[in-house]
Parts: sequence; structure tokens; C-alpha cells
Amino acid sequence: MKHHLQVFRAAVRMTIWDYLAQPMWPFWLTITPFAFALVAVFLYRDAPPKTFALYVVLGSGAMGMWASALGGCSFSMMQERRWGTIVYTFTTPASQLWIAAGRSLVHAVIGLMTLAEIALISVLFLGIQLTIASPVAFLLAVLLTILAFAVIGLFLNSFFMLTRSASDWQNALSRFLYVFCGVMYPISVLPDWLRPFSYVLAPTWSLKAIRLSVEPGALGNSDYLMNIGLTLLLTMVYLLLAWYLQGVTEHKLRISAELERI
Amino acid sequence: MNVVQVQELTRIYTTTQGFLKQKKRDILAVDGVSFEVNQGELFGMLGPNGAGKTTTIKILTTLLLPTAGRALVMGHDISRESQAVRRQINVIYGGERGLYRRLTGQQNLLYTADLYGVEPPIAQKRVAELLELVGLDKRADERVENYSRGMAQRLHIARGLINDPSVIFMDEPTIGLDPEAAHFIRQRIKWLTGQGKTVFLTTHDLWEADQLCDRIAILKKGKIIALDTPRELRRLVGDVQVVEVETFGMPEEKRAGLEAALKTSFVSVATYGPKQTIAIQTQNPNEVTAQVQQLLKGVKVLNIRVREQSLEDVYLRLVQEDKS
Amino acid sequence: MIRQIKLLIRMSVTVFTAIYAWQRPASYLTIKFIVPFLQMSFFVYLAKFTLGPDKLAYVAIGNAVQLVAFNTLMGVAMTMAGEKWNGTLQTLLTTPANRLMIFASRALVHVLDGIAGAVIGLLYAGLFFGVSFAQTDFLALAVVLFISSLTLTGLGLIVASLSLFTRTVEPIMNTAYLLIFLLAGINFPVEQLPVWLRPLSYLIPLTYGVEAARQAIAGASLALLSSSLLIMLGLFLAEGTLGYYIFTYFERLSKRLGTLEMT
Ligand SMILES: Nc1ncnc2c1ncn2[C@@H]1O[C@H](COP(=O)(O)OP(=O)(O)OP(=O)(O)O)[C@@H](O)[C@H]1O
Ligand SMILES: [Mg+2]
Repeated sequence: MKHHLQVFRAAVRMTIWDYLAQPMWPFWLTITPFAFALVAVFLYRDAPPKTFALYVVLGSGAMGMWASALGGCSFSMMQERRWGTIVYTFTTPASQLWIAAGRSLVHAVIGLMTLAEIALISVLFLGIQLTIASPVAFLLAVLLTILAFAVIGLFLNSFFMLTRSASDWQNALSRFLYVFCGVMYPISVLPDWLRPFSYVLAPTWSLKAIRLSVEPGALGNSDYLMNIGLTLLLTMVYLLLAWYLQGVTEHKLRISAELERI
Repeated sequence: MNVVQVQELTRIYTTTQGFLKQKKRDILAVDGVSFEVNQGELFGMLGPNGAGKTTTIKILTTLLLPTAGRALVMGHDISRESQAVRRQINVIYGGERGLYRRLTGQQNLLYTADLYGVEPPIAQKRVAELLELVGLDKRADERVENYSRGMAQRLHIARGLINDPSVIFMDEPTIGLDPEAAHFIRQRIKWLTGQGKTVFLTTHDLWEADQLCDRIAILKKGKIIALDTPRELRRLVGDVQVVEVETFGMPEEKRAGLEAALKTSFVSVATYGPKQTIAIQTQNPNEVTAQVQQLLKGVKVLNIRVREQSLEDVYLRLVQEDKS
Repeated sequence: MIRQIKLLIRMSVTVFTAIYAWQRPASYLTIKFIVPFLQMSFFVYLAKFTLGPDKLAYVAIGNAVQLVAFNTLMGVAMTMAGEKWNGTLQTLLTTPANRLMIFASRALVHVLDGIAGAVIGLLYAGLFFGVSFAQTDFLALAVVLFISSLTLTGLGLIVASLSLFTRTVEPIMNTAYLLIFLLAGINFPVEQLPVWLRPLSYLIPLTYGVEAARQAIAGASLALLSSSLLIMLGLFLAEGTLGYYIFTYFERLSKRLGTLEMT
């Protein structure tokens, strides 16, 4: 476990180094959610300020985190392949899963940039007031959202290790979560037959928890607590799946010898 | 103690080609290889392109699984106890790939140290030492993308030693380096065995192998065709000497005639522009010299001499002998 | 002439097959069918929540027709990226084959690809998002889609040329696409944009194309749309010429500097 934490910390540090070496990277990673959020700014122009804050501002943060976690993780893996470093890290005693975890987390947090941008625009130009009635509940829900996105990134790590064309899937995967997690609208607007997709996505619940946390007394609100619980539960399930898939993937790669292909 | 134990190791690559009609093709890269490497030994593996050297290294370093057979490294099974193996080994593939190009040399080493679970205070110290060992201490804070090829390869040596491994696998570590850089790396390899490390080395540089290795395995089409000390390998092909003839503009039919007439000896011809160097391995150099002079009448002979056979002669003979 | 046309077709086919379709069938299908569906869904449901069900058709058609931009613009620019990636751009540029031919071969493929994209999008609009084609003048719609796709290659050329100068083409390409997505009246009318941004909208041929498509679907005839189509063609000529000059400029520059990839 000590070694795992060391690997995790190293991956975090290394991803930060990588960001520092290419300062424009966060910007390019999140430009699409930023533009999508701007569209939402226009579509929400007549909405009450609170609705605006809960959907456009928070939603932009969620989209940014997801785009960045997804794009960052797939790009990191592509880079490892192109540079041939994956061949070396694969045969270190470090767990690929913990490396991916460190990476995912940094990428997801970087995505909060979109939230900052949209919040700034909203406050400066649109005069939107952001008030949070239960800061603790809010913070908890936000942290869980980051975790939820990071864990999905982790879950996809084995997929990125297997495929040579991860970037081709990026657009589909990013939009999948935009549609189904209810980032910019409540999932109740989705048709019934599409809603099951939403239910199995952890961020659906954590985002709902964030929205509930702006009401006073959220920590005692059973609805809030249920959403937090569901987020945790699904995150655990993803973690287990990620761990299982990683093992299968590594075994497969040692047979197929595909890891070195660019 | 046997640091590496390999029994009947076999590896088949299956490749698929095409999309609509998928064609499967099996490539037998390593074919039932068995050998052992002892503690503190510098073990070399030679062989033509595609013989299976890199594949062997990839299996022993747990990057790939064998299709059949068994291998133990430091007493641990490479298939079932990969983690235990990984902790005690490291690998260096030739070339500059495998480094984080946007990070500095030092950052690369620190990151790798963490992946190997080296305690941070020890890692700090070791990184500084290793950078000095490979002569990169002055440029440790530069990004790897600005390194020359030789510098990148030197950084790889440092990276490969970061976990203080008991066994180090090196796949053509001096490939594409200028003589000075190659010399530098060879020195460091030699130094390693002085530290009690076991080194598994592949190379195409026979002189390098001759200089460095305690024992050499020659691999051909996935099979070991010879395994011994450089000295014994030379003896393996008999107590022979080499008659070396340098000619200018030798016609093709003369060459064929030469090979036919000297059937009992091993003849290899290397062409450099209009010049040819003919090397004839034989037990009776004097007789052959006379014979050659006779046969090459009318051809411009620049030089003719008798020398001891080198590892290269032995290698060529072993690898080419049964052209089956 | 015949020889040139044959060459054009052969180059187009090569470009197309080399870039994606056959190398990565699964990725290709995702990009062409799944991504458009998801992106349309996102904005349609967004509009459904914010503006109410009666605005769905506006957003659905807008998002369907913008797939022309997604495909044409991205296609033309990505081709360049692909070439660059494979290192073939250097050789391609130094062959004496007419420059225009290079662009024409790229453009032809992506124009068709763009139209196909929009047709798929409109199918989704009809099947899932309640857009009615009962009144539609299909001839007019077809012409509008063709002209929309064609005229975007002008902008595509500008983007592609600019990308010659950067390490990777994606950032410039994405920015260009997203600007079009924001400014061309896809999800909300141009009139809602701040006044100072509107002139930019009117420089994008797709702004007219999307509006014309909405009208054609509502039953407008070609004659009624002809002025929009003419404006689009005019913009195409201007932007195509500009793109061509930027391209040759960078080309000369890179020859002088001895390198093409400025990183
Ligand atoms: N990933 C792979 N997929 C399919 N075939 C492979 C793969 N890697 C190697 N091979 C094949 O396996 C055989 C052995 O290759 P290997 O790289 O082990 O040879 P080598 O002795 O290292 O050669 P070289 O001296 O050229 O480095 C070759 O025929 C090669 O084509
Ligand atoms: Mg090799």
C-alpha cells in the first residue's frame, strides 16, 4: 500500500510537470466544453439566476472536468505509446492502475478551469449571484464529483491501453456523459428509454447532490444523502471493475504484444 | 546460484492482417530455448536480425508471456510471480525511445525511482550519483527533447540502475552511437559486473561481445546454436586460422570457382565498392594461400595475409553454416 | 482534361481510404453516426428544458446541418494533419501536381462526406427529435446542403493553411469549428449575439446555409433561397482565394526557412 501511494503521488507530480511543460494544454483540453457552455449561456438567457447557476455554471464545471479527465488520460496514454515509455513502466513493479489514478485526478481537477471561466463570465457580465447555503455539503458533493469523473477515467485506462486509436473515441465518450449525466439539464427531460444510462453513471447522482446542497440544511436532507450514497456506491463498483479489467488487460497485452505498437 | 533459468522457452506471435478477411499468421520467434545465467555473469546473446533476442528479453523482463516453457529470474517464475521479478530487475532497450521527452533528465529518473518504490531520500541521493556516473549531472535540468542520442542513451543507463537491480537486461545498448559514446557505455557495463550485478546483453557488435561477455549464446531462428565463452566458441570451429585476401574487381565467376575449389574451408566474401575482402577459415593456411594465389591468377590482389580468427569469423561460420 | 479528372478521383479515393474509413472501421462509424447523435441529443434536450418543446425543431435542424461543418472543415484540416503525421506532406508539396488539384481532391471527398453527415443528422432529427418533413422542398434542401458543404471548404482551406504552421492542427481546427458552432445560428439566432460579434457570423457561409435549410424544410423553394445561396458562393470564392494565398505564402516561407513543420 505504501508503494501504491508513492506511485500515486509520483503520477500526480509527473502529470503536473507535464502540464507545466505545456501551459496551453488545459485550455485545448477544455475548449469544447467551454464553447458548449457558452451555447448554454444563450439558451438559458431567460432562466432565473438560480437555475442558471445550478445548470450552466455547475454544468460547465462538470463538462470541463470530464473533457479534461477523458482527453487527458487518453492523451497521456497515447503519448506513452508514442514515446515508448509504456514499455518501461509496464515492467516496473508499479501498478498501472495507481499511475492512472494519479493522472486522472490531476486531469479532472484541471477541468475545473471551465467552471472558473464560466463563473467569471456569469458574475461579471450577467450579474449572476452565486450563493451556497451549505458549504460543507457543497464541498463534499463537489469532491465526490471530481472523484466520480476521475474513477471513470481510471476505468477507461485499460481501454486506452488496449486501443491505438483512443482519440477517435474521445468525442463519443465525452458527449455520452454530457447527454446522460444531466450536466446542463435535469435528466427528467430525457425520454424514458434513455434514462437507464443516466442511472448507472455516478456523476448523475453527485451533480444532483451538488444542486441540492445549495439549499439550507442539505446535510440533514435525506434526498441529498441518498445521492451521495449512490455516488459512492457506483464509484466503488467502477473501482472494482477498473481493477478487474486492468488485470485482464495486462494479461492480454503480455500475450498479444500490442503494447509496443504505435 | 542461477540468476536466470530458462527451460524450453517458446514464443509465438500471432498477427492478424486485413479487415474484411482477417488472415492469421503465426511467427515462431523463440523456439524451445534453454540456458542459465550465473550470478555476476555478463551473458551475451548474439544472432541475426529476427533471431528472437529482443523477444527473449521481453519475456524475461515480464513484458510478454511465453507461449510455452518456463523461466525463472532470481528464483521467481516470470509468468506467475511477475511482481517479484520486476522488483529485482531492470531493462534497457537500445535507442532513445522510452523517455518522457518533455520532462528533464532528473525528473525522468525521479519518476522512475518512485515507480520502483525507492524510498525518496535514497532516490534523491541515487539520482544524483547516477547522473554523475553517466556524465549528465551538468545537464540534468534540461528537457530530454534537447538531448542528443548519446545523452538519451546514457540517461537510459541511469534509469536502468535506479532500483539497484540484481539483473540488468540490455538490448543493443550501444546501437547507433558514435565510437566514443559506445566506449563510454561499454565501460559502464563492465563496471556493473564489478559491482556484482548480472548483465544480460544482446548486441550486433561482435567485437563488443568478445570484449565484454563471459559467455555468449548464439541464437538463430529462435534456437540456440552455440553457447560458450568467447574463447571456447573460437575453438568450437576447430583450430583454424584465417587467410584474408584483398582483391580489386574480382569477377563473380572467380568467386564461385574459389568457393568450389575450397569446399573444405569456410569462405566469406565482403565487398567494399570495387574491392573485396575474402576470408577463408582453414587449418592449413599455407596450403590455402598457395591455392588461392593459383586460383586468382589474373585478378588484382592487393594484399594477402594470415591471421587468427576473430569472433566474427566464428559467428559468420556458425550462422551461415547450415543454410537450411 | 479527362486525365485530370481521373487523377482527381484517384487522389480523392486515396485520401479517403488512407485517412480513416478502412483502417479503423469502428472509429469511423462512431465518428459518423454516434457522435452526431449524442451531440444533437445534448443540445436538443438542453433546448427542451430551457426553451420548451416548440423550439426543438430549430435546434435539431441547426445541429443536423452543422454536421456539414464538423465533417467538411474537420475533414479538410485533418487530412492535412494526417499527411503531416505520416510525413507525406513534404513530398506532396514538392510534387509538381497542380496545387489546386491537391485541394480539389481533398475538398471533393469532404464535401460529399459533409453532405452525408447532414443527411444522417436530418434523419435523426426526423426520427428522434420530432422534425417534420411534410412540407419540405427536397430539391431545395439538397441544393442548400451541397452549397453549404462546398462553401465551407473555403474556410477549411484557411484553417488547413494556418495549421501548416503549428505543431498540431487540432487546436486551430477545433477553435474554428467551435467558433462556427457558436456564431452561425445553430442553436440560437444570430440576433441574440452581441452586436460586435455579428459581422463575424455573416462571414460564415454556414450562417446562411442553416437558415436556408430551415426554410427549405418548411417548404421554401429554390427561387426563394437563391439570394442566400449566391451570398454563400461569393464568400466561398473570397475565402477560398484567401486560403490559397495563405497556403502558398506559408509554403514559400517554409521553403525559405528550410522546414515545413514550425514547432
Ligand atoms: N510484436 C510482434 N508481433 C509480431 N511479430 C513479432 C513481434 N515482435 C517481433 N516479432 C517477430 O519475431 C521474430 C523475432 O524478433 P526479435 O525482435 O525478437 O528479433 P531480434 O533477435 O531482437 O532481432 P534484431 O536483431 O533485429 O533486433 C521476428 O521474426 C519478428 O518479426
Ligand atoms: Mg532486437
